[in-house]
Amino acid sequence: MNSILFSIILLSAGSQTPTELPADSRLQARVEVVSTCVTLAELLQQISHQAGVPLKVATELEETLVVVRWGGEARGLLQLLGDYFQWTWEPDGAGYRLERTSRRREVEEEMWRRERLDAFDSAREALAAEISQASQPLSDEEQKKIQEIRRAMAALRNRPEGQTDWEAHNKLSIELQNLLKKADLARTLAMLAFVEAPEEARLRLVAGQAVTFADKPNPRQFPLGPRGRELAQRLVQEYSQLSKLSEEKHAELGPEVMRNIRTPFEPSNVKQVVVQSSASSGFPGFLFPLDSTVIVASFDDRALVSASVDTSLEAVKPKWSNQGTRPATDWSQIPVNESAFRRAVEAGKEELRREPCALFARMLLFLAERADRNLIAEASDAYAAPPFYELVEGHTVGELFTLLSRTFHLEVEDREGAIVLRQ
Amino acid sequence: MWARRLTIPRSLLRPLLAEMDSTWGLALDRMASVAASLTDEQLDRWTQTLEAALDIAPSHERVVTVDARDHLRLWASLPPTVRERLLAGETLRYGELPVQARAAVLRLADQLSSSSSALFSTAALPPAAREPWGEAVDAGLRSILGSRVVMNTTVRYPRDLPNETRIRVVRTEVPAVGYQRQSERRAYRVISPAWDVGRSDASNAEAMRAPNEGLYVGLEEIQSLGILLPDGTAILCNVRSRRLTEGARPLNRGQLPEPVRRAIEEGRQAGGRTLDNAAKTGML
Repeated sequence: MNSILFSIILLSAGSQTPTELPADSRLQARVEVVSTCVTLAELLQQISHQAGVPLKVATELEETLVVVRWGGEARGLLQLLGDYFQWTWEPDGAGYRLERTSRRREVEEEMWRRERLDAFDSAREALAAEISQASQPLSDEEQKKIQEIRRAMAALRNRPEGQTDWEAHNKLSIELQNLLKKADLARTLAMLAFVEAPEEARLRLVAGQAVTFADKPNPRQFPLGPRGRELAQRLVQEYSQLSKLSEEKHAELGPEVMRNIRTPFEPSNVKQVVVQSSASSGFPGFLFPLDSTVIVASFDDRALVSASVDTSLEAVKPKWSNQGTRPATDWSQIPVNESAFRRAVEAGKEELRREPCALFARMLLFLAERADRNLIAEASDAYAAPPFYELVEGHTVGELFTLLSRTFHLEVEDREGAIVLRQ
Repeated sequence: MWARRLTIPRSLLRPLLAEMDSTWGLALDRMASVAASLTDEQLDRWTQTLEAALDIAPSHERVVTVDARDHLRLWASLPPTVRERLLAGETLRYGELPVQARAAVLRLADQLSSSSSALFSTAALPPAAREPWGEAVDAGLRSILGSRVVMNTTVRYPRDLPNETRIRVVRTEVPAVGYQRQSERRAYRVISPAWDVGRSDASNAEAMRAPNEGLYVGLEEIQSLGILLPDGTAILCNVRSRRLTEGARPLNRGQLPEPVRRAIEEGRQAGGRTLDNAAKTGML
């Protein structure tokens, strides 16, 4: 699953904005640019070639990815680029160079930090509501449903070779996992640690640093609350039982292996329970608003394909996650002819092997053309979802377990001192 | 405004895409240079970006995991002469590593490595159920660690590691098979160790089975890195990379080279005897 982030400015055709660029008749040259997905350095090269003005961009900015559709004076496009990023044009030899001031760099850092902090805070609100329902015993009805699903899955698996409907099996598997999530202690503990994280911990997470929550925290760690400690104890009990089962299964493996498997692992040995932040993979869901606001959207390429069967963007409802940092903005109503849309998408597919953003860039350009708008969009490889939130919102028990396996650990007393056991 | 932070620079990505379009993967050393060139935020998008561009099935054991990338960065930080010594089987002392490499070792040691769990499972399997290459890796690690094999444990050394800490590397290559697999609406390009291909043949996992035609010869590189602390605790990291061998062309099973076919057959014979279902077959 691919996620693409687009920050979009959709501009009225021919719009003029004040320019900080000096009076320079060369910049009045009309340029025609349709760039699917290029770096800023490549875009400026195109404009430079058409307008006959040397244009450069600071090295630290040149890898910025943009999607552009433009027909008009070079000055207008250059100024809008500068305005959007709030970078400045400086004279450079016979031409101009796009630079970022140190002040602007500081502002961007703060915006980045704020953006992620806001995302964390919104996620915490969503999860706080969910926690009250989490980790509850399954009702009789739910347990019955689980048994039914398991039987149905087994029946599917037991069909003659080649006749298993794996799609149906996967659907059942997801349904099962959603039911089991409710009683998932590890998930609830992760959510709880996330929700209860003090601001200092959140700021560390925002800065991409590891954060550790523990029931007996050292000065570098953060405390688990009473419920967290209680959940942790229950988890330890569960793991302890699993560990004993594992020992029984491996009893014939020889003394050397057994010595490692039989690391003391009783609840009474537990010194602390730790949940640690972690980076992880992408963020599902998609959104394609088409308005004049700078937005941050996560886009799913498979959703794009399914969107093509609809006749208007309105049908492509944004699938916001609980994160909810960005309310859906006004949707521009632009009818999209299905066959034309498909052609645009198919054309983009051919470029994917050179540029992963090409498919989405193609669609943006197609829509901009239909709307008769100039377009400047910034593209990137993925949405900047807060990693710990992704962890908590792991979509399947298996994924969550994988994530927790490297983020959740127990510290126990070993004969030779404290060691950390990963689960 | 900050999209650049989350985006793999195209000056790096484009040549990589061209390379991977033909090889479906990268050599370990090349992967190490990639991990050293990108930030964590960019690497977090690595799999998705490749999947979008190349339809290569995601592998969580590439540069995605935190400890795999730190392992690779450590490797990238080593001068060629030091790499050669390690690959030749020499054990090096932490104190004799270059400053940059020591910082990388410290960072790795401070991670809660998860990749060693794969090694743990190898060690825990009874010999008959082990994958053939697993034995080689396991033997290498035991030589790293000596008699005291401590799996799945780390100790945190926040300031520095003792100079007496020892570093050792074992690199193994196993034959692999590349093929296309249809998954829902997409066709993915997959490379699996030949032994796994045989094992999936022997199981009922129809969806995982490799086809009989349109197969490519590839290889899997596995690099195991051991950091042995003076107190006897070991940090074990394992990173692997798969790619097609040069000049690969589509083959049917009968045309595969003998070592690949042999590995497939060994996997087929061992199929059904993995740890997951060993209990069912009475092995455990």
